[in-house]
Order: sequence, then structure tokens, then C-alpha cells
Amino acid sequence: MKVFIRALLSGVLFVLGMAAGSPGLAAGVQGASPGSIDIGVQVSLTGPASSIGQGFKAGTQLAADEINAHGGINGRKIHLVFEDDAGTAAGGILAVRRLMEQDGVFAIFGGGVSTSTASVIPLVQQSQFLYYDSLASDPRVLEHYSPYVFSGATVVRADVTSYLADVMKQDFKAKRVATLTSDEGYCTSGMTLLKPKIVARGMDLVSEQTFQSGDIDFSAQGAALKAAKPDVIYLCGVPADGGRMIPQLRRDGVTAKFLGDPALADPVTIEGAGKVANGFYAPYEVSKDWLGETSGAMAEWKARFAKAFPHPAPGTPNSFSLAAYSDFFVFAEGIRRAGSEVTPDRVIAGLDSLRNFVGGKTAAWSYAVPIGTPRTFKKGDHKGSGERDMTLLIVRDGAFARAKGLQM
Amino acid sequence: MTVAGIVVGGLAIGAVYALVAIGLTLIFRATGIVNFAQGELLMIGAYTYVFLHGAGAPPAVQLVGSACAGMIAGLVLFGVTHFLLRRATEVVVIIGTLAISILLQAAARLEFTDNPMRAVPWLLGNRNLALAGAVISTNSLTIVVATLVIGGALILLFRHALLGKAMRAVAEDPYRAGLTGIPVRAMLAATWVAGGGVAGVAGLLLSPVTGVFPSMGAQVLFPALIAAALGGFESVEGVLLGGLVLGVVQTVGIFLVGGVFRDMITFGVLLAVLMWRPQGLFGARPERAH
Repeated sequence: MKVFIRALLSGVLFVLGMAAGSPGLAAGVQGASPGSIDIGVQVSLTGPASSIGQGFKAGTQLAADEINAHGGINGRKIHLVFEDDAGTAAGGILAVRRLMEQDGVFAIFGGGVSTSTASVIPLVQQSQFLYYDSLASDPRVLEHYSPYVFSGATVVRADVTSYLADVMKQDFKAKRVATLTSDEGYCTSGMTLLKPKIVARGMDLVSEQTFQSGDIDFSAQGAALKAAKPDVIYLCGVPADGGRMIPQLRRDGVTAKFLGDPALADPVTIEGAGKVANGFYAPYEVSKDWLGETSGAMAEWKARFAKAFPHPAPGTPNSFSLAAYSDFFVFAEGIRRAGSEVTPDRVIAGLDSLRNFVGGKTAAWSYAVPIGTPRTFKKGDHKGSGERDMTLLIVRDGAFARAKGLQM
Repeated sequence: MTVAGIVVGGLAIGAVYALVAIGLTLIFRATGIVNFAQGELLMIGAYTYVFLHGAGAPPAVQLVGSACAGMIAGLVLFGVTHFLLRRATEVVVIIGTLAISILLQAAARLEFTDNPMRAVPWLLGNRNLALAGAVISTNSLTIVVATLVIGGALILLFRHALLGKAMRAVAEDPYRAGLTGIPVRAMLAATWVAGGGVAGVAGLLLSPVTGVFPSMGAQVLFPALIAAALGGFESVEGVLLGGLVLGVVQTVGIFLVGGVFRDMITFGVLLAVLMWRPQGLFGARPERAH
């Protein structure tokens, strides 16, 4: 009898030992199995920033579908779980909690706006949960370094504001600058950085106007901006805000140049503003290939998008679709470099080893369209993009085109 | 120059608040229900305007179409609140209108997404007028004038027309109104239809300013409720003036202290009214109970 019990126990221990040692089944790793890996996607699908979220969702899906069609990552198929954060701080917390605790995903690919992303950073840091932020440029994302938090396609606010101040001074030769910014996190945090840079470059900040995201009436701000007689006005908000602001300000007689935040370099801005959007400037930051190009890598990517989404959401594909697509391959490369045993620490090590990585330019992802800006991460520095990755655009004939600017 | 621009801009947004507030007040007076779906009636009117404009309909058809869309939606809401929810208390019906509001927004979001649809200003297009040295958009003037015309027509209706008098009688005392032979239910339905029609026109007027999107009505609802409170939830003229005053105060406040303080200004006005003039700016002070 004793021999039988010993044999039984040995058998059980052997099976448990095999399971513990098998790839992807390391003890405590949720959301990963030998055949699949669950990636949570936090995205702002509803609310004023929905055009951002709809575009991001489609771009992520396109990249994941391509990877799955080519056998997955090290044989693991990707299973995406989308959660809507509605672009709010509370929505972000709810979405991330659902992904971590209810959906049990392996890691989160963040496509929320700054407000909904900045709110979840303390949570993922405390939980030591792998979080790859692709869109939010709020300084709070990288304010306190965490090995678990990465920032991808969007350029961080410190670099964006330096670029904007340089454009105002060097390209526009502005002396008088005004601002009209929303209460979105990336606008408020950006303003604290932009103001001293405007002054340091010898320009006068003649009017600072604000609004609440989603506001419908800008007549008071228009009157104040008109009275201040600025040479250039910096506009910051979600694309839907941009589409409302621009025509109202022009209608109120504001004639200064408009320089938008990178978030406004979106077709929804033009769609809302109509013809008066012509002459509107905004920097573009997720690719060196502008969305409007009709040849090369961009044309190939757009053709794939159109094939994958015959009935796309209005305003998509947009720059956020591009960010999602290119960043998802960056994230996938980190997972690939983790090898057969996928754990968060091994994926982090994989991401930290990336140097100027662009999906589509390496053998492992030869089928991807190489449209992203190069991404480099290292331990202690998870800032994926910088000022060098920005391109100035202008609206001409109802569409964004490259402008003569700092990138030339 | 700046002052004129601010005042006209404030009057224009205030006029939209007033139109929605008139509908809220009519329905509240007749039924005791605060219709939280009033903003969605505006949204329905706005989408109708965009589609009629896109189809090349003339301005008169656009106006009538938007008003009719609001009226039909108002009639449906009447049916829901008075038949489907007939056994519910007033509080439950009010919560029901909130549920309808969210339902309509969600349906619009599914159909049209949150991306705003662009709308061309009704009747006069996108022009500016130079008046006494100030540049004023014709759309802002259109909104103010249309609101004054609609408000005036409603005042005349309630003061002089048999239908208006019957609606007022039902609002005052439905039981006694019924005893005099007034068809109470029909008058209640007419009140909802009138409230919906006014909201539909408000949607047509507001859509060129903001674009058309599912939550556009919700953006206007709370200021409209404050406008109604300024008018004491009583007369059309009081609510009309309340909306215009709120619009100007809000716009001047934003000009002076900044747009991020919009809600503080708006709700500060509400708090001030509730503290010092709970009966509204133009209502008689109720006798204090001893």
C-alpha cells in the first residue's frame, strides 16, 4: 500500500513539475498559455475622444490579425480584449481593473487619452502590471519611472511643447502668442511646460483662454482672443473640440494663425471645421509618412486597412490607427524576445533591449508595413518617442499636407 | 466692439438654453415631470436638419421637418410617460425620462458615432454682419431672432388662443379643467408635442454652432434647467428671459475668468437664484409659512 501511495504522489508531483516547467505556464502568469496570449486594450471608444479610440481600436486589431495570420508570436495567437474608458479618469480605472481582475489579461496595451491614462498609472505601478501606453503624452505617465510602464508612439509633453514653441518662433516669426486649451490632461500639463518656453524664446503670451472638453460655445474666448491681437494661437483639445473651435473663432473675426496640438492632426478636426480649417497647422508625431500620402508604405497600409475594414468608423483610419498599428508590433517584439517562457519580467527585458525598432524592418515581422517611428527603450528610460519624430502639417484644400517647418 | 460680440454670442447660446427650457417648463407645469430627455429631442431635431439639408430641402422644409421630428419624439415620450409608466410615481417617471435620455444617446452613438457631423447655418448661411463697428455672425442673430419669434408666438398662444388657454387650464388644475369639458389627455399630449417641437427647432439652430453629435442635447440640458429655474418654471416670458440672462452671464463670466470655470459660473448662478429668488427672477415671492 505504501509503495502504491508513494508511486501515486510521485506521479502527481511529476505532472505538476512538468506543468510548472512547460513554456507559458510559469506559476502565477495570467493570460498566457502555450497557444495564446490575452492582451487587454484600454481605449476611449465613447465620449468626445471617441474618434481617437475608434481609430486606435481598428489599428490594434489590424496588427493583431496580421500577426495571428502569420502564426502568432512564438506560436501563440493573440487574443485582444477591448475595454472602453470613455476618456475619463474614472472610466480608465474601471477599464484597467476589469482587464486586470475580471478579464485576466497578460498585459495592457494602452490607447486611452491622457486623462484616462494618467489616472491608471499609479494603479498599474502598484500592481506591477505590464502597461504599454501608446497614445497618452501626459507627463504623469513617465513622471515616476516604473519598469512596468512604457510610453510609445506619442511624443512626451516636454518635447511637444519645445517643438511648438520653436515653430511659433522660428517658422511663424511670432511675437504675440495666445492659447486656447481644454481641461484634458495633456492640455493642462502641456500648458505648464509651454508657457515658460514661449517667454524664454522672447515671445509675449498675450492671452490664455480655456474651455471644458466638449464645450459648445466659444464666443467669449473668441472675443478675448480677437482683442488680444496675437500672431499665433495654440489650440489644444480633442479633435471634436477642434472641429467646433476653429469655425467659431473665424466667425468671430479671429484672424491669427492657428497652431494645433498633435491631437488635432486628425481628419475629425477638418470634418467638423469644414473649409475654414484651411491654413490650420498641427504637428504629426506617429510616423514620418503622412496619412494622406498615396504611394509607398502608407498606401500599402491604407490598402490593408480598407480591406480589413470595408465599413470603417467615420474619420478612420487616422493617426491614432497608425500609432496603434506600429506600436503593437513594438509590443509584440518585446513578447517575441521573451522567448518560449512568457512572463512580464521577460517581456520587459525584451522591450528594454529594443534599439531603433520599427515593425516591418526586421525578419521576424517582414510582413508588417514599416510605417512607425523608430522605438528605443532601455532600463531607466521608457520614453519611446522624441521631438525628432514630429512633422509639421497644414490643412490645404480640406486635407492635411506637409508644411514647411522644422522638419525640413 | 468686443462687448457687442460677447453680448450677441451670449444671447445666442442663451436663446438655445431658453428654447429647451421653454419645453421643460411647459411639460413640468402640465405634468409635474422634469423631462431629462428634453435635450435628446433637440438632438433628434438637429440630426433631422442635417439630413434634410443634405437632401437639398429648402429652409422652410428644414425648419418644419426639425420641428416635426421633435414633435413626434415628444408625442412618443408622452405615450411612454402617460401610458407605459401610468402606474409609476412622479419620481419614477422622472427617472424614466433619464433612462430614455441615455437610451436615445446610446442609439444615436451606435448609428452615427460620437464624431460631430458638420451642419451649415440655417437660412442665412455662414456670414458676418458689421453692426455699429462690431462683427456679428448672422447665425447668432438668426438664433436670437428665431427664439424671440417662437417665444412671442407661444406667449400669444397661451394668452389669446383657445388651445393655449385650454393647455394653461389643464396645467393649473386638470381635474377642474376636465369638468369644464377640456380634453385633458389631448392637452397634455399637445404640451409634450409643443415642448418637442421647440426643442427640435433648437436643434436646427444649435447644430451649425456645435456640429451634431449624440450628447449635444445633454450639454444643453443643465443650463436649460437653470434657465427654467431663473424663470421660476412658470411663464414662457420668464424662462425666455432667464435663458438669455444665463447665456450672457455665462459668456461674460468665461470672458473674465476663463472657460474652465464655465460650470462653476453656471451652477453658481443657480445657487444664487435658489438662495435669493427661489421663485425665479420674475415670480412673486411666496408667503412665508408661520
